Amino acid sequence: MTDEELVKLYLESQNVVYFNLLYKRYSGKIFGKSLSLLKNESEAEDATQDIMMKILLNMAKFNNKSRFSTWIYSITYNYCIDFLRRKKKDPSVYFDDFIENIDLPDDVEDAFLLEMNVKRLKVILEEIPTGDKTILLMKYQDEMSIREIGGILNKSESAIKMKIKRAKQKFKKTYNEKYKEEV
Amino acid sequence: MGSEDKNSFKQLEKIQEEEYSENLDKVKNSIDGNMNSLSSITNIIDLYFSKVLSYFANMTGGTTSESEDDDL
Repeated sequence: MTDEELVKLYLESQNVVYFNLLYKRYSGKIFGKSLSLLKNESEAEDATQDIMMKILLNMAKFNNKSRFSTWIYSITYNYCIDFLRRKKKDPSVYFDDFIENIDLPDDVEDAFLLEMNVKRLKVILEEIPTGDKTILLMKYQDEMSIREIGGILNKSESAIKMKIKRAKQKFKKTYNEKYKEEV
Repeated sequence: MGSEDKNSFKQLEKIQEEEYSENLDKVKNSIDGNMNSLSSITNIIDLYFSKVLSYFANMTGGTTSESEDDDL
């Protein structure tokens, strides 16, 4: 059964069984993203609980214009970004445009990220700034379109393309520094 | 081999889901608690709201459909 069918059934019947199925599908993904961004297990648990309750209470507002997963992830990213802003935990999450004079590698192929050893991917994602990590997760883990990412971060498509390019370059630079003996 | 198997980001997501299943059970219990509280509140409102409404209607001299039915 698709997500959208489960949402429809839940809204029609208010039967918790349908919500439980959606919980099973998405809670792990929401927790994983929250943990990646907040870097704290107990905060990620609280975030997952708040986000799932938000989804439950706002289910009727889901209008089928986007995929259900995109809707859920946009709630998740917005929650985490707001949380970090409130706590002023990580300035990189502000997504402000600024000129960086750091020496970045040339364009990075998607295959470099997608075919990477998972343990190394985890290490590098922990090291790059949260803003870059967020945008890479949206593109490669959630497979969101440029337009969808722009909608969540309230940026133009060209700004998002530039941010993805820079995030990939920073990812590769960090990788090269970390594993320089192999590069 | 599916496309997910070739995507290291998806593999990482899957590993995290398995690694933190205990945390998710804990979160689910809290959500169930919240849902039970919500459902209790809804039941209370369902039960008493109409009675409170008709009480106030009667107090202000109006009639509710329930009291009109009683009159018949």
